[in-house]
Amino acid sequence: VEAPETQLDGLAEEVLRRASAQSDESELGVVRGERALTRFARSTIHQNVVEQTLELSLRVVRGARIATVTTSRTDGEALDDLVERAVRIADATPPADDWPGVGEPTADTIRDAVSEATVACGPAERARLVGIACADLPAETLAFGGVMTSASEHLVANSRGLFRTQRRTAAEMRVTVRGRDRSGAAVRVSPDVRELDAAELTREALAAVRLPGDEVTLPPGDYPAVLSPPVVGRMLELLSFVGFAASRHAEGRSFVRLGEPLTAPSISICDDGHDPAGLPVGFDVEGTPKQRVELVRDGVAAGLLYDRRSARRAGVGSTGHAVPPDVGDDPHAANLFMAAGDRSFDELVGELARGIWIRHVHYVNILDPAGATITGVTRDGPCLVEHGVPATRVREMRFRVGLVELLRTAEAVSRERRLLPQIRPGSVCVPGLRVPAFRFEAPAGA
Amino acid sequence: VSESRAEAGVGDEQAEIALRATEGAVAGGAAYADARVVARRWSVLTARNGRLESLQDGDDIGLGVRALVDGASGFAASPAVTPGEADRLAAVAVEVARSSAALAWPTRFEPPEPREDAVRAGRCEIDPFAVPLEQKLELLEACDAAMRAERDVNVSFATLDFLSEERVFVSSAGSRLRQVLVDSGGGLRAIAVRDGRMQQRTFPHLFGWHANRGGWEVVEAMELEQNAARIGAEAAELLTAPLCPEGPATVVLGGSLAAMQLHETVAHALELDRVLGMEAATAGTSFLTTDKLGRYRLGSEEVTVTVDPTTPSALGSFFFDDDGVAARRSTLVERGLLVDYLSSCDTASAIGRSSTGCSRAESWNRLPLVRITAVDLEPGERSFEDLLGDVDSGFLLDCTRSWSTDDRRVTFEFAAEAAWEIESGELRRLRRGPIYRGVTPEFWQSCDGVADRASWQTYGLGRCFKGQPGQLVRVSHGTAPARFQGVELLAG
Repeated sequence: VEAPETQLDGLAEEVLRRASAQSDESELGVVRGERALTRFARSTIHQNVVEQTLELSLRVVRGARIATVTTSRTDGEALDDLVERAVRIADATPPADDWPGVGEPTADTIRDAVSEATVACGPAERARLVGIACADLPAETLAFGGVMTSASEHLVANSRGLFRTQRRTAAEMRVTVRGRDRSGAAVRVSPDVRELDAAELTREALAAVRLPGDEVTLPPGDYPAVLSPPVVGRMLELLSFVGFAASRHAEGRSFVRLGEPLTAPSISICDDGHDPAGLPVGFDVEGTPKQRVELVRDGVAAGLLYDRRSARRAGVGSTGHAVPPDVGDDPHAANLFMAAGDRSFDELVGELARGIWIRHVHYVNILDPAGATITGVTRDGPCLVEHGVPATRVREMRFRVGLVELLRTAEAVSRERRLLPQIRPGSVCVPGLRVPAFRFEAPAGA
Repeated sequence: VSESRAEAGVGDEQAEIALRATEGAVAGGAAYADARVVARRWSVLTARNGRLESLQDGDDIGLGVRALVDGASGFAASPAVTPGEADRLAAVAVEVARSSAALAWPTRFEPPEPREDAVRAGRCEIDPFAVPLEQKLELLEACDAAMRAERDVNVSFATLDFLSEERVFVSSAGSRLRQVLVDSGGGLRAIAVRDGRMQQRTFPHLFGWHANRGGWEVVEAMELEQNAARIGAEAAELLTAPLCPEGPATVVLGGSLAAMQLHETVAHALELDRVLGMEAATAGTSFLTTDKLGRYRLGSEEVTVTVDPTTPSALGSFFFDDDGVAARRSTLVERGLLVDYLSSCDTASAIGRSSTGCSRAESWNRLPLVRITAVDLEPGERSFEDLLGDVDSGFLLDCTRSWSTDDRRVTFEFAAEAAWEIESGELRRLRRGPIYRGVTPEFWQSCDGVADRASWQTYGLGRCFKGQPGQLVRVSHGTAPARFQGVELLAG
């Protein structure tokens, strides 16, 4: 992030000064950053991009009438237009009787979550990582994937004197190795690009490619299964989406019954924007500091996620999980964690007499939100485990599972956890799981 | 309150800045460069449970520069459209391309013949940004009330969505193009909840969203308020409707479901970058490999698929793509036979063909990729009523509830919001929970009828996701209800 903080300070002050003169309350959010990505396919680089972004989002309140307007322009004329447009729209909207007001300033200290190595990472370094990922591949295999880095500066300020800024970085690398009839994959995310070990990612991807023998097609049915962290991560992301937002809960659309058992006692889930093991986010788009929310504590449903409006309706405080409307309709857990267990990942597999090891899943979608039932297909190297040893590659399968039931019956949780990107903004840090029954419905792929 | 969409324009000075960027890239060593200035203005209103939940009103503008150096490509983008930033972006794009050179995918980019067009403006009879906000809010309120008139509908969403975009394209090959496109649309979601059961109906389709190129007249034609009461009642009825039976069945997909089926199993599979492996690590590849071109039977004789971004009202329409290729109609599947792909200049040249004009970038800040644009299932010759009339026993399925494919798009599973029994050609009882799955070519080969143009319409999809960083592009599919035999029907 090249521009010094003082420039955003000045911009915020300028916008709020103009807005305050014409409104009862005003709130400004600014996101500025740079994102770079080098993608590769067939062991060659086919995309290489650098993008700078800037977005100003201004909310004005005039007698409980509210409008939010955004722009990428920062010249004086544009700022005048921004304020004038917000005021005009606010006056035409109906009063919001549940408006909680803009956030109050608090003494919270928000620390930057920045790796200077990530900030400094340029195309040459990204190309070097790609070169490592593509080196020394076995015959008849090729590598595919990408290296992404981002550095951003976030600001929320309002007419009550709230003023927060945070610099954040993220780096992500994914590697897929494909042979003639097989593939394996690995993915990592970290605030620090130096944590991306390209060689290790390729080794992990190759482990699935190197499984011996011909692929077998399993009949549909319930199978004991070990789920690698990318599988658990995707499922936790969906579980959170359909279950833990307070607004959905209030509408009767969530499976969560607070205080009642939800999962196996070995499972605890939280959202924590400050945990350095994740991609830290200090505050949400309303400027509310992120609260650590225990969603499931030792198997019992323990908490929900609130933005300021849903919190006002429930008579509680916001937990700092507001998102812009283009991200979603409900509060969102962008920093999900599942607690580590007491087994090594190797033990999860080693203790499996006969079952399936699922490393990755693809195109997972929600069939029934009421029961958190999902469908999707396995991808990149599912295998049959016999007597604790990966034995045979398995043809991709379509599955249908109820997430609550799956977590309720989980038998073992691994000590090792992986930090992975969410499909929506954010990250998920999860262990591997072993479950007694994973429902395969039909062969997939060909 | 009303405003003019003219606020979101690209000025001549900014178009000159784009030209300066391409000249800078060429001076820096690029064999080819192009640049886009895109200015957008949008307004999205959502009512939820009787309240105005959000009103997003925004604009942005920016410059994106692509440079090809020694067969490698680089792209740089910025929201600052200034001469100095153009120079910087040109240098960055060249540097980024050079950094790839040692490992570069061998890009053979053959730009189209250069063209200089005056402003080309899409259809827009009534400027949606000039329609008073009060009028829009009244419509949302009326829709919301109509859905929630049904006692069991305790969650409702009503949305209006407007986007105006001006895009200037210049290239070092000599093209100077400018187009203005306006989208208008909206939609409805009614969710009935009772005793732990939840059922949803949307209108007109997926996510309760649809748009066409055009102005406020698009919204008026949607008859949102009239349909709100219907979907509210259907959502409530589904709570107690019997579960859909399982087993092989004759199935008629309603137009919107046929559009999603086409989208996921045919249109994405026809994207040539995916076929060539460029999306293998994320969205996946395709079973429609290049050795199948001209000889593979993807569907029955009833199945003809075209890409036609010249359709004036289709959300995926335009005048030129982001390689500067003029919009044109191409046939992709001719009476079941695979005959072409969705392609861009670089991917088409990789297989010795001409681009079908499907290179699209979400906006100024994204590199163009091969995208679905306006991909249509051509109408058949029989009326919808005739298609139903032939069915002794079967089901009419409506609106997508869930969808999933494998990473080669060769197998799929879809869930619909609702099914109606068809008995002796007549629609009978409503059934809940229909799911169907299949193998893509077998499924399309089982198609024995597509309804005629009288029931053919375009469905807009606003959030077709692809690529890294992810790009959400607006696309469309023209479809009519289509009939399939021996479909594996499930329930849940």
